[in-house]
Amino acid sequence: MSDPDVVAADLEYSRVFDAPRELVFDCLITPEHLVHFWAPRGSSAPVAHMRVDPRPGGVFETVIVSDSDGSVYETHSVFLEIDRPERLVWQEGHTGMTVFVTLTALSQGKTRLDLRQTNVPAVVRLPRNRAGFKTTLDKFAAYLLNLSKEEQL
Amino acid sequence: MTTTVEHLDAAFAALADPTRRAILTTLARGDATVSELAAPFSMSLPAVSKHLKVLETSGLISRSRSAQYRPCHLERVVLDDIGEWIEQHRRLWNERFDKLDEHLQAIQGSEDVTE
Repeated sequence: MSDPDVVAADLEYSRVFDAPRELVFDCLITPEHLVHFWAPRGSSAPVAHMRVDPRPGGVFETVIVSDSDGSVYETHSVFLEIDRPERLVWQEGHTGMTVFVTLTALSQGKTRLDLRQTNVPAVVRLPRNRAGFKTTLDKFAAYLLNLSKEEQL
Repeated sequence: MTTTVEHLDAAFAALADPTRRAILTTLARGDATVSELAAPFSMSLPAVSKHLKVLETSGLISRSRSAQYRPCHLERVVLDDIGEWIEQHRRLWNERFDKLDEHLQAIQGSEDVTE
């Protein structure tokens, strides 16, 4: 199908951190920092298996290992943009999933991280347990479900 | 009906369009015919039908084969799957950001901890 009206939806997520944006930025591209937050609960992302080369065209690869059964999930991305401390863009090689990170300095040394993912439909071809984003679609799906549940009562 | 990855793929694409989201919102309140769905839009019936075709292909809606006006029906199973998929991913990034927040506190010292 090649309906020109059909485009991928973007997913977005934001968070404010109590840290200067240089530090937040460095956390995203440094294995010794990534190891502390990259893996979801019940798994780990060993530094030994990370490859992070923070320059355009450089690799961004991680391995997430499940604590319970030792199963592994690999991510293979390439950095498209590195503009410390403002902007970071990477793309998954085989899916075209692209993640845009924008860091904004707020008052009192805080930093807002805005994360946007494009090519969402490509992402659903991948196994579960990977990147996720709060989104307007999320709210919309919940809204529709509520509407239809109300109607069913 | 089982929702496959291809369904989710098509469903996300279908949801990306504001007109189709508006159509789904109407259908969430109950089944409707093409002309009922077209009424709020300054859009021809064929144009609306085209959107309905995308929604039907994605599995988000189904259309009765028996009734004369072929009313459109919202398929909640697909919507549930989309919600579940997004929720899983939302949860993962939430966890990552929680952990990053803790890590940032730890490496900067704990003088800012307010709990």
